[in-house]
Amino acid sequence: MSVAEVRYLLHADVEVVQLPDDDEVLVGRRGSRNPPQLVSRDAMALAECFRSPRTLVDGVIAYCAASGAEPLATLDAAFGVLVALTRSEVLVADGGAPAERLRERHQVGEQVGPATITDRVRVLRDSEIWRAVLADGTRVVVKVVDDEVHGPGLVRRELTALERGQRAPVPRLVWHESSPTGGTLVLSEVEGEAADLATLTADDDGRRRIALAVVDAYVALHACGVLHGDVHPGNVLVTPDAEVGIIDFGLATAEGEPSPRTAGGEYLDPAAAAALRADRTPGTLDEAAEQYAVAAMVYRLLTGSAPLDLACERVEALRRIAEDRPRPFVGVGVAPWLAVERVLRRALAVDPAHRYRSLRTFRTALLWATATPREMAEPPAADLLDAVGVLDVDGPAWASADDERAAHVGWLLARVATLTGDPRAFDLAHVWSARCRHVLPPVPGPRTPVARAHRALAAYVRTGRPGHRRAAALIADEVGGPLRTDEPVDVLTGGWAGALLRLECSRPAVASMPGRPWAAEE
Amino acid sequence: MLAPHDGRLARLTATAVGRAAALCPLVAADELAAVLYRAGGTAVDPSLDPRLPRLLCDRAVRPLDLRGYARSGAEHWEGWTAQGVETDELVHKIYVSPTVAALPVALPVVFDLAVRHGVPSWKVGADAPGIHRADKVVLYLPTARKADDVAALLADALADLPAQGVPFSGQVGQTGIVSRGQDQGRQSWRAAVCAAVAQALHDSRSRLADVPPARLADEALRALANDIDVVTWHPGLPVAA
Repeated sequence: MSVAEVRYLLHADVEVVQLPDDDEVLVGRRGSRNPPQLVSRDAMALAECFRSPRTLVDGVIAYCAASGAEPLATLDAAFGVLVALTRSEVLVADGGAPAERLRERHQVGEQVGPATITDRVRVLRDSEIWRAVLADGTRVVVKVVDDEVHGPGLVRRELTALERGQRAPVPRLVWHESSPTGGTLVLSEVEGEAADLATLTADDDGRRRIALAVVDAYVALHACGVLHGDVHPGNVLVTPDAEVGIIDFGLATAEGEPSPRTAGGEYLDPAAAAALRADRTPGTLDEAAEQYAVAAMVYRLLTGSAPLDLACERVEALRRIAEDRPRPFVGVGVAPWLAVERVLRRALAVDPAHRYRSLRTFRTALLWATATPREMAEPPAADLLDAVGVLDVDGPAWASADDERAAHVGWLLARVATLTGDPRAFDLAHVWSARCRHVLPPVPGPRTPVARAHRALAAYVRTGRPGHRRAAALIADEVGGPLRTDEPVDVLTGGWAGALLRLECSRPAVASMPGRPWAAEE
Repeated sequence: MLAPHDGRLARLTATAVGRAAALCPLVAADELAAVLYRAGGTAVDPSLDPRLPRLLCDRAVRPLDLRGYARSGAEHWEGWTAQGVETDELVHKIYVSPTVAALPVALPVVFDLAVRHGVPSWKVGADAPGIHRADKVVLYLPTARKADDVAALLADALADLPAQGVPFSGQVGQTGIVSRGQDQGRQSWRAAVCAAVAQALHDSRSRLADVPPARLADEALRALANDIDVVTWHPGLPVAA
């Protein structure tokens, strides 16, 4: 049967999320490993025509009959989207295996081997995770793998890794049963939450402790001759006491046995990214590649961000992974920690020969580096916070300001509120902004000191070189000297502008040039 | 400005109304109401991880048995409601307003106390703007007495945490971290109060040429006092519809 004859169906498990203030919708299939896709509302309207099975041509004709669009032009314009929706199995061939509804293979209360299921964690088309208990009350996890192509390999690798990794913090195998499509494993429960979530409310010392504990866990795993192969924070669980457990060994490599590689993301190493970029199969996972992945996770745990900005389309993301150096900490909005950044740069080197010779060596270097003091973030500019009081409605500025001046005051207060969290500045920013009908102050000319200072801050964020920051701070001092609250507020020149610039210098990653709309919307 | 009142929240309210009075000749009543409604918030920190609000909720519910509650997730709020409860009747509100930094400590206390005392419904800001609002946690109860009791317990349990504080609500306890409100028909308490204050200011805006904003604010609130005493209202006082 040719593609033109195949009848396609918009799968019943498809979920659509309307995005507010946008002409796109997010469409995904429940239980699928394919990430949701952004498509236009028009494309989704076309996809909706496949609620009952139709050939692609019939679907386009039905859409055009309803919308008045021209069929040939529509088919031409929509073809790429339709192909993408079939690849992600949002549109499926009627009657084939992909058209089957997602169904749970087990249910609460059911006995699986020695375990009784208590709670569903996740149900996907090719796998399931359930919480369960043993007869003595011990909590366990039931993992079901059910994939004709990959399932048997995933289970075999997981069993091997768990057996060999018993001296590392990995789950204990309680029971298992193989099947032609994979099998079922009952594993001891690993407590904790995903490592990146565990760091969200931690202070600097807590983040450091978690990061080191994660590296320790991987050092122990490598000492057992196991490479995880699927390093990401969701597979590394951390308890409130910073005890770490590693889970999910379906892609693990034990003593050189090759395994499939992940297809992207911030933990992909540069050599694999270069291969994918060239449409080649990435080479076998090795310890240097896993060192890169662990170092990328350490970077995220310490800073809350990825070492590279991968918010771009896939080919460019692969290029950045294959070629770029990690961002300085200041570039992701945290205080510099030069010794740690140096260690991470080496572990994240594009050339694997430049990385540490083992994860254990990386761990030693990181331990020493984290023992060095880090440069403390500068406290918010106290003079500016104190001065906000004169901008209240019973002060002289309110009495004398015109609309143009009010725009300067509104901007200044909004930036103080954003950069310091000060509630008085936040309330006053709304009052002043309403007063000037939400008009922004003018953007400074490119040769003005304020513009030059912001360019220097941007260069500091990009490169991490402290000289750029010093240049910005110097300009801030030169712009206006000490703040005098009897001066009219001006964010482009004078004492208020200088004070605001000094405050922007304290948080360079979120610095904003006056008049740029995004900051005013915060 | 208005004469100071003992409560911190009353002072926050008076300050917000005074500022709105200065603004009233320049903007429409609805924008005035919006400025009043937003008072007491803080700006969203651009570096805040957007997953934090829901993570804090997940941590707070983890040790609890919430089988009798339905969890509902909306874009801006995460809510829990006891099964079979008629939510239209839950007009007595408790606001809990720790600073954003104190939220990880405060939320487990609030959730635990809510479950132990049978609070039928509550909601928490589920995104970054939501947890920076003053009214980031709201509990709903069926009677004023029950709401007063739970609010007093919460104020005691949270007394050592820093408060952000919700303007236009009745302070419970010393710090202002807990306060009370009472929905008006189907309208939220703060929305109703802010709209009434904004309209009162707007109606008297022509007098701003003769009287200072603080006095205008005083007079507007006095004019409203028979219906809604927005500055000194506290649990137990009547609230006119």
